[in-house]
Amino acid sequence: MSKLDPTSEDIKRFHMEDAGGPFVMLNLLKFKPDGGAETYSDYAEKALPHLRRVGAEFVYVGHLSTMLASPAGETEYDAVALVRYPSRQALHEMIMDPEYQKIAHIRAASLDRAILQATTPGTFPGTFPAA
Amino acid sequence: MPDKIEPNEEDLKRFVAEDDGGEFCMLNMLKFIPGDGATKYAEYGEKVMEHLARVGAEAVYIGQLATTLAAPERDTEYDMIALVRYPSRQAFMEMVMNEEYLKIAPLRVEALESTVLQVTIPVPGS
Repeated sequence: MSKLDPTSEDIKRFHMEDAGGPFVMLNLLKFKPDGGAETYSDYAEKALPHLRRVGAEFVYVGHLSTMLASPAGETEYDAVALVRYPSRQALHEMIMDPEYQKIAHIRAASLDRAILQATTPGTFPGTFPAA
Repeated sequence: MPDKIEPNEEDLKRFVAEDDGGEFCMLNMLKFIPGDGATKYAEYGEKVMEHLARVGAEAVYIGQLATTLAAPERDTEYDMIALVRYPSRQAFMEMVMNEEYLKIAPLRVEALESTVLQVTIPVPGS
């Protein structure tokens, strides 16, 4: 089974690699057949107040359509979501909240596969703040 | 065999056939060639700006990959993500067929070791 949730090791690394400042979480989501997408929508709706409470917001949400190039040769995910957090601490605070933990299982129940990847915002031609 | 960096004619046919008529965002996952790949891509990025602007496209987000929290292993091997909004698939085709754009397109190929080029359709209100 594919890993859907970060382990405590992942969370440790997440903090060790914290350069400070905001970050954007790239979510690539493959829903379970038969109701996964609806279950994820239910999770997203319930997660929204938690995101707002820690100052996070959606940058973009989209459904995957035509694949033009990919090493796998096919579209392996259904949806993409980019979520901006003011800090890594803010994400930590959200996922440790007992109220959030009551809904986290809905996400896991909806997904076949997921990428959860922190990204550091840059500016367009491809320049980034020094790491 | 090296990874596919550019869509072929078949891909572009599918791209047009699957057109729903609306705007879209191209998700770019980019893995640079070690050495000067990142520099070359930055040069491409700078030069592509005017072509994007000409067809009404704009960057929604660009980011450098940092900590991976969860992922099937093979999927974390990228350096950068860029999300670019195009007003239509026609606008994208117009850009990639433009003679001036075709002069800079090789820079992108020279910069990349691997890439995902994936059309996404914005969810209303997002």
